[in-house]
Amino acid sequence: MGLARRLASGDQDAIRDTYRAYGRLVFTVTLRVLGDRRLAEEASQAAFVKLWRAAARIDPERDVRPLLCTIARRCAFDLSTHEHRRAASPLDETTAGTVHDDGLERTWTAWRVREALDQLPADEAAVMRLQYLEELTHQEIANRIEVPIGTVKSRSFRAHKRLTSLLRDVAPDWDRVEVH
Amino acid sequence: METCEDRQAAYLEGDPTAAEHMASCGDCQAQQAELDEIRALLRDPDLWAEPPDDLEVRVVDAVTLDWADATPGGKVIPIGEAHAKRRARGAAWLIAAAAAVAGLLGGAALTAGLGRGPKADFSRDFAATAAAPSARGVVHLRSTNSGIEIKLDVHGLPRVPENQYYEAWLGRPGELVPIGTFHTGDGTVTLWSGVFPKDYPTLTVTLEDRDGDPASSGRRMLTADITP
Repeated sequence: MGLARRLASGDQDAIRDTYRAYGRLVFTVTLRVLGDRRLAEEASQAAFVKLWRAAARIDPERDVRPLLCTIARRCAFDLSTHEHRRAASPLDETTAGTVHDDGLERTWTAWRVREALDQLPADEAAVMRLQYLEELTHQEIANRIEVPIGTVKSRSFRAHKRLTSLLRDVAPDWDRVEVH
Repeated sequence: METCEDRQAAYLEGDPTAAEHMASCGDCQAQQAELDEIRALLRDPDLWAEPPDDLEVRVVDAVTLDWADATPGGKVIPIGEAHAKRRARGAAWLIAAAAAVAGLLGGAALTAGLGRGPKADFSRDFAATAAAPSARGVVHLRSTNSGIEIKLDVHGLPRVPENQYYEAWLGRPGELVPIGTFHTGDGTVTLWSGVFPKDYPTLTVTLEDRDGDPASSGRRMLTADITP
């Protein structure tokens, strides 16, 4: 049974399974908005609670991902507003910082990129991580993981080709994604 | 012959010759803006961040409490235990089968989520540690002819990736005895010990890496005083 249908039927275990499927992606969305891990964790938790509360209204035939992406983004902005209000009090110390708003479409693209990265084979994902997160050159990656540079180049190319293939999708019809 | 998809992958990778093709190919030009966006996202450290291991438990707990608050007469049963109770009602035969397998094989046997307290000589509560503040559980010890049967009812341990596992130890000052490994963070695990709690009064669960090193990592997740 699909996650949307299980959530709509009130299956509590579906929240755990939904987290395992999309928790990392929700965290990516909230962290990109808030720029603070603690706040991103709090917003991610709130997003799943909000999803659960809306479960009875979820169309069981629809993909739950765009809805969850939207909810996560909304929870991040709501938390940011709350934190900024707290920051107005001189007695409070908060971590409220600059909120990063690049729009719903780009937020969805970030979700899809992260999702595509998670689908890469482990050897290709490792090369991508070293290349982008640690900004290593192909030679430095080859030295780090102790494989020939040609292997690194071919893994990198295959990974990028998989990404371009996986990311050729049509954006959701946002008008039909209910935002609660 | 290279396809446009090959050229776009190379462009995404930062190949300057691919950029020249992108400028001259109408089909590829249509993709360029999106590819530029993807390349910018790949360079964003936030895209690669991992949530903490305990966020799953926190999410599940938050939903459970929210459901209980919203449900008239709602009783808070952690989702893992609710799942275990449903399994116990529907699969009683598994209890006998699992016990038979454990008796034949010795070592660790997973009897996930049966939801019933075993017959025990005595039981002790686990204490959580800083590494797993949300974790909790009970250890049940029973003396048998094969040794000490030790059942761990654990909840709230973080889910472990494939290159890690949990390991349980009996200990006394200066000495640790391994009693088995497992990977579930939410269920019942049956382990066996050939040494006695009166001699090794501390039970510890650690998080280990699959690195071939048999020594304890020292990363304690749960502890219990099992002095009889």
